[in-house]
Amino acid sequence: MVFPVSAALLDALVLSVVAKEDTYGYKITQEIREAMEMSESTLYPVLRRLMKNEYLASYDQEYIGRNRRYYKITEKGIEQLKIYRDEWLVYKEKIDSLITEPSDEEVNQ
Amino acid sequence: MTRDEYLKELDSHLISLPKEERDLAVRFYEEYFDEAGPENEQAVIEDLGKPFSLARSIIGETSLYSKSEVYLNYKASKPMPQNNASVFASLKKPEAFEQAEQPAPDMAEDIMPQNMPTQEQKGEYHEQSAAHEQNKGMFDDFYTHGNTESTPPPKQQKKPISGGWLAFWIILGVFVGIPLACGIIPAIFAILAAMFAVGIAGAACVVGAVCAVIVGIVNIPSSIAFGLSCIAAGIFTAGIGFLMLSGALSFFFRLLPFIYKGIVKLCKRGDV
Repeated sequence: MVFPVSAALLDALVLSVVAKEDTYGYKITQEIREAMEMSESTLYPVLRRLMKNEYLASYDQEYIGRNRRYYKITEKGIEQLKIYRDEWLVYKEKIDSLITEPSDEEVNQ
Repeated sequence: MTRDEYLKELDSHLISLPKEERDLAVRFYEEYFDEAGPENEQAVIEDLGKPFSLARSIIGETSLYSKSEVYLNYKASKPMPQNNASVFASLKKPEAFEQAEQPAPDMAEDIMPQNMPTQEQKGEYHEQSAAHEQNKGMFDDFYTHGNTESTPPPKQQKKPISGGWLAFWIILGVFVGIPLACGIIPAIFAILAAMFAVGIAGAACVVGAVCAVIVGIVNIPSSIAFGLSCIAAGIFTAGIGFLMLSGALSFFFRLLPFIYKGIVKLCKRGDV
């Protein structure tokens, strides 16, 4: 991807993925990778940061004889995600208004 | 490299982290390998990069926690259209604290009014800033751990002199030092005076020699023998005079400074 991804955007993405349902590290990486390139080394620091900020909590669940660590979003995380979503809309619109090629109609006006 | 080797190496590079952090990180990647399955082991290793650089990214994020938090908080504290009570409550205080401390010129306007601490928030500010300090401490820790070779160990503090030793040195000073000083100091003065005298005598010889040469030249017409012997004696005396003078001069201007420097050096070494 040509556009760099900021820490805040990663936080927002991970929060969004976990907000849908409780999930585990490997799956979070796979989901985010559907939207953009991301190294497998990226996720762990993001998760730690979100945990320390208490936006995420974790619990262990057994899965075929071993433990799987699940992450779930906290109340604080939900609030933070709302902030990110609002911010994202504002940001997206502003960038779009600058970067998007104007349609024919707009050009004619 | 196999998965186990990879994890072991990763663990060894995380040595500067607290045990708990370290175990968490290794456990995460252990689980990650499990999820990916043995068939993807090499692909995962390749994507994760060298254990060392992975460790750096983990350590960086863990130790610089306060830094990323600052960033989060800045984002969170930006004014927004739907800024209601709940949003405001979720603003990160440490960010606001830092921003308030050193507002960037372009951000100051929109951030400052919002984040003016109200009475009930001030307490939290202090708490959070203490947490910040702690985080910084962690960071410093990491650095000192990481760079032990490059930072010299702190100098050993001088041991305080105990009472017994102090008495010993005083007695030594009184019974040995004072008599010794009584002998040495006059001796030094005597040497200085003697060398000074040699210098003066040398100068006098030179002056006398010049006079003798002049007298000799003046007397050559009347008595060649007397004149020539006067000149010869004059030149001979001049030689002796110059020798004495240069001896005295080099004593005062070269040997003394050299001795002085030596003594200063000795004293300094004694200090350390």
